[in-house]
Amino acid sequence: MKNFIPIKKRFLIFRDEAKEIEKMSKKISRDNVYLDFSNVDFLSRSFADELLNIIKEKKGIKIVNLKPHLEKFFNIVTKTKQKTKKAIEKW
Amino acid sequence: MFKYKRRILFKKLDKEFTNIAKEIEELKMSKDFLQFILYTISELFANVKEHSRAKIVSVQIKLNKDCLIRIEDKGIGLRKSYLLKKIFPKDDASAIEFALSGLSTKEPRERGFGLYTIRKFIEELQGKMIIKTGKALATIEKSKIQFQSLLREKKGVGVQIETKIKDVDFYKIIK
Repeated sequence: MKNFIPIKKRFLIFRDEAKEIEKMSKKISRDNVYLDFSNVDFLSRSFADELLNIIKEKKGIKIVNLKPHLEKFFNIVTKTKQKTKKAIEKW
Repeated sequence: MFKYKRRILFKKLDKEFTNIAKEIEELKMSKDFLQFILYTISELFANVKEHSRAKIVSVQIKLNKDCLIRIEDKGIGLRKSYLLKKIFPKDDASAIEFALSGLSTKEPRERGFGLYTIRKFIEELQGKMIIKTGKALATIEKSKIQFQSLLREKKGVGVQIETKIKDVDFYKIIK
């Protein structure tokens, strides 16, 4: 499929790895890019946080084939980011 | 039973994490406890990579009935790492307290959750966590934190966790 990036690593830990994915997606397309996470089994919080930052900035990046436990993890990190943002704004 | 003790080059942390994770996956333990171990190691590795400026990391993991994870670097230490980000803890003990608080910068990014969440796990599992940096040593046990002054300054940061291997609700704790 066009604009499809298969993520080959099973374990994604560092923010750098999210930035690498961003670079790859920029090379492929300026529009929609689909990150295929079917091979991924583990994400660190740092990686998830960085990838969410990237996705927020570049709207066209979408994650596909995410395993249910990783989807749950992403949802938790997203909620915590929102809470942190609100707390910082209040502060 | 899993025993691992090695000094790892900073550049090889990524590859070594994969090796460690694959071996730990083979052990019989609950999925949630496995997630906790991988979460702990990954966050400590990420801290070393992003903040320590260390070239070598010492890693020790023992898993039998108990779980021991010890990760040490000889980098710039917690306090200096904060000072470089224009956060000014008054001493090494304050730097540890800050790292455990779950806040590390004023950026709207989810940084600083590494040690904070590991502490939550350790409290839930009724284990023990020790953090050493500079002249401070903090022991977290039974929801209490105790500080000691080190006679000999610890270069970099050392984190050790000890707990029984038992069931834990991984997703409830990381919320």
